[in-house]
Amino acid sequence: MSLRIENLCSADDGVTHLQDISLQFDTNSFNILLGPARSGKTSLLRQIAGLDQAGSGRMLLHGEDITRRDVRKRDVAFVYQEFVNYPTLTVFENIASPLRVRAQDKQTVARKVHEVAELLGISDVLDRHPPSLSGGQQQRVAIGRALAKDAEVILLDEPLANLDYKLREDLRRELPRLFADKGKIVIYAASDPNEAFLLGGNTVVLDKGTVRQTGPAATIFATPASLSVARIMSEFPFNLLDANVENASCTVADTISFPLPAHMDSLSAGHYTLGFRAEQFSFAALTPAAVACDATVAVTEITGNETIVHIEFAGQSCVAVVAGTMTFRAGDTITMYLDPDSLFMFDSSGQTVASPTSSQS
Amino acid sequence: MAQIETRALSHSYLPDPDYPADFALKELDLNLLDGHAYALLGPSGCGKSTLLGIISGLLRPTQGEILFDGQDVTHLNARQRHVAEVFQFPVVYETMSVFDNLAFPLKNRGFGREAIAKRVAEVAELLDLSEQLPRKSATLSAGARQLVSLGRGLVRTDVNAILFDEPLTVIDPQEKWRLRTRLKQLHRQSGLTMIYVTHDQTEALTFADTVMVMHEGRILQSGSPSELFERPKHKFVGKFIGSPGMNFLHCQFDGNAAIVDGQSIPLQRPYGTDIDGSSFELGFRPEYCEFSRDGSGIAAQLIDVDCTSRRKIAYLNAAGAKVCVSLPADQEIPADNHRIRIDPQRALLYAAEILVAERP
Amino acid sequence: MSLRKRDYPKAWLLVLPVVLIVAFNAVIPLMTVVNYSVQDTFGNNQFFWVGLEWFEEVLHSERFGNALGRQLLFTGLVLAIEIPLGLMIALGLPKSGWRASAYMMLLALPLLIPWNVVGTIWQIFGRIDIGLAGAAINAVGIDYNYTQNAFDAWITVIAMDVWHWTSLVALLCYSGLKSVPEVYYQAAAIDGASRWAIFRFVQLPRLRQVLIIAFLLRFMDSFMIYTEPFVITGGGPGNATTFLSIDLVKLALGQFDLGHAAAMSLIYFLIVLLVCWLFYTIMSVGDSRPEPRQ
Repeated sequence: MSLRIENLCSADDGVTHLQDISLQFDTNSFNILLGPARSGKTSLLRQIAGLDQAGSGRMLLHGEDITRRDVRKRDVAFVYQEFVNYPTLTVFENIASPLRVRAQDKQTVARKVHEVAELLGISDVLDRHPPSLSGGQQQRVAIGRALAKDAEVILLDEPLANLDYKLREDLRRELPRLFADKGKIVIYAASDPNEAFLLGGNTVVLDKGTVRQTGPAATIFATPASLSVARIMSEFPFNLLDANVENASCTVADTISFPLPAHMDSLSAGHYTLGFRAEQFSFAALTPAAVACDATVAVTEITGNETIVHIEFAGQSCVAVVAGTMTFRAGDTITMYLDPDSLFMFDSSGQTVASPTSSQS
Repeated sequence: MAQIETRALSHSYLPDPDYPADFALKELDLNLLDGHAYALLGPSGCGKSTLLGIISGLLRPTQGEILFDGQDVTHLNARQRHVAEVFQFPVVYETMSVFDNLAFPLKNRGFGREAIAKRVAEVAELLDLSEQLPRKSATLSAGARQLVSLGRGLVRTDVNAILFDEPLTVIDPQEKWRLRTRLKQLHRQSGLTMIYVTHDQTEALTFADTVMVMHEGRILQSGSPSELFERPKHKFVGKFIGSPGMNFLHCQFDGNAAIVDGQSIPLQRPYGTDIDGSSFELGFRPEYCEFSRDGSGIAAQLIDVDCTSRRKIAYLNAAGAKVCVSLPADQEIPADNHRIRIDPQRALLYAAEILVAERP
Repeated sequence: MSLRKRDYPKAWLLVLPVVLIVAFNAVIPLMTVVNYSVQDTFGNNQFFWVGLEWFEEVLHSERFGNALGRQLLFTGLVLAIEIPLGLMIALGLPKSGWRASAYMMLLALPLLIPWNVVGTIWQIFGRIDIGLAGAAINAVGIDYNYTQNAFDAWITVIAMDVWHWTSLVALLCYSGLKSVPEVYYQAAAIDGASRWAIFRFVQLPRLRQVLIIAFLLRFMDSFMIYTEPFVITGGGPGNATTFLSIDLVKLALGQFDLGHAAAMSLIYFLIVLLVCWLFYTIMSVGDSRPEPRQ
């Protein structure tokens, strides 16, 4: 029992939105579409909802071809980024609206609305109107409408993006529980990789309208299939440097050389791109093989108990994240260390040719 | 450049305010230093945008005064106060090119063509927009538009302060990163006073030298990012800063140690024995507590575990309250018998939600 | 982002009755006119083909040229007054509150009056014996008589049209102005922009679509104007205010010169179509491309 998408393509006025998308979403699954802006997340959601017509390809829900089915006949609920509610109806009527469309009797409607409101913690605002509520509450009403509809497929398009930082945290924790074990297929579009981690489930990485990788967030994080996936999956900007492999040693940007670590053994000589995460930099050599990098500080930013240091290293701008509060001035020279065992290597086409073998990378 | 001061500033949007709840801003006395980067951080409705409106001159306060360099500017409008503002919605004059956009404030103030061209080139260089100067501003991305908005503030030589009203709201997540760092660099390079309003703590903490946390019209605490993180003066600040926020457990205090659930945590701070307070709470950050492996610590029940790429966050019930423990991603959580050990060095004592001051 | 159009075969059934009615009321009469324009008769309802003769006659006719000239002058003057005036009124209206509603109601009143009543109002208004304006102007010492003086007739007809239709432009511009986000005004204030600069760089760009619509509507209506000037002046004095439509009716119904009138109708129709298409194309050139979606 699932939603299958086969070779879906869609274009508009000469601009391709989706290219050859083939995916399967199982029942009772929480799926995340992760990708940067204009990667096709919203386009794909709109295709599944039936709001847009596909150029080519098929969509099958439980084996039935729904590709040409009208949006009104699809069993789909949609939660938008912009808290979409009927402004002139009360919260109660908003949540009841999909039930009223199905012409259910008053008692059933009341019971279901109260159930859903209870679940979302909005029972005390049932008689108010959405514009008078806070952003978090309005979004809960929108989610309530989606839950009340009891649709097979629930689509959420970055629903937390317009919420305050702290409200986002609260609602994010509740979402998986709201939809768990109800036999639904939940598809959630996100651009923050942390959301993919925190919400759990199956992650689909989209970039420029194509699927780049699927799997659990942790797996994609540890072994990204390509440079673009590694970038998308990174909380901080992903660091990239030119590297040259020759005679079992690697030279980075013509400045630093080190012997090839174990996981890069099989690489043939040639040009590559070295990649690593901001958290890979450290101020002390953590292992004997750690490589020293002399860098110049451009800007430091302090967040709580961590410091983000933007440095110029080997002619490139890099980002480092370290624990503790460090204060450097622009222009200071510092030495940072990298552990070769934690580095990624990408070939000239952006494909990953070496990923660190340890569980944390 | 100016030092900005407010005296007994308060504001209400209602015509006849009576109760404190009617006021969006309550009795603020601020002293903003010249050339500093400030952030006004708080949830929606805390009054931060109102305060920014009053500083910019777009809003006239109900009561109190605001002074620039000692001069009362309360009755001057935005233009007269020489402030620049970057709004939530990127404002560019779409029919003009980037060059004309940047030149606009100078033209309105009667600068000559040569002076304008020189100044615009300087600022475009600073913002890395030199190549975009001939482009029609309507074709720019949201992030580039914000830079142009900022540029219109930077071209002016008479600017006292540049104000930012949640400027990254409509920017794409990737561009947001770069733009944030850019703004900080620009502050360092220009040396102008900058005041940044946001609800996002990452933006506030990374940008500002001094962050002012606001809640219900008051500034609860004003300090450097690490001060706010390590020593929040108010329970709200403790919970607001940090992701997740600080843990608070009810406790008793015997002069030396906090007693939670029968466990004694010796607080290594000179609080003194004669503190008169009720409702003591122990505040400690999820990063400064851990699972004990030797049976000591406060008993807790594990509810849930969240994993991000770098950390694991465990949610537990302990001593009748919800507690979070933040561990590095590679550390294991014990299977059962969960006990939390709090780092006594980093734990703080609160009475009636306010940090208990230490004896000098 | 909007719903894309799909094929709805059932929708055509709903539209069919309307299509039939429109066909009966508009397309068939139009075809009849085309028919008349290429035929001539000796009487007794016998018609013979003359090709484009009528069209040639119309285009070479001095009378047509004069009527067209008068019409163009009228339309030009009326647009030149109403569009800027309507815009200025819209700029002066308050943005919200009860006063805004009150003003809009007042503005809407002239638009609600039946057109021949408008004509009658002004016809009486301008009379030198019982008309308020007519009598007052003459009392002050200015010679004014729209029944005898061509210039006075023109002034009266133009004043009537401005009174009648400026509100439409004002209301359209007002709705366009409301779409300007407040932040633009704030930013302009901070940039030290003068009132004129704010108008030119903030408001006018946003009013483009609205002004196009206002222009097109006013052009079409004023170019085809019939009732009001006919009621006021009957086309006089002489033929001073005989605009195209008035002339056309005189030809068709007065002189029963069906062929000539039919050809003139078609030329009239084509002029309106051409100007509207030209104007719309020119103004739409700078419109933005659709935004790419995520």
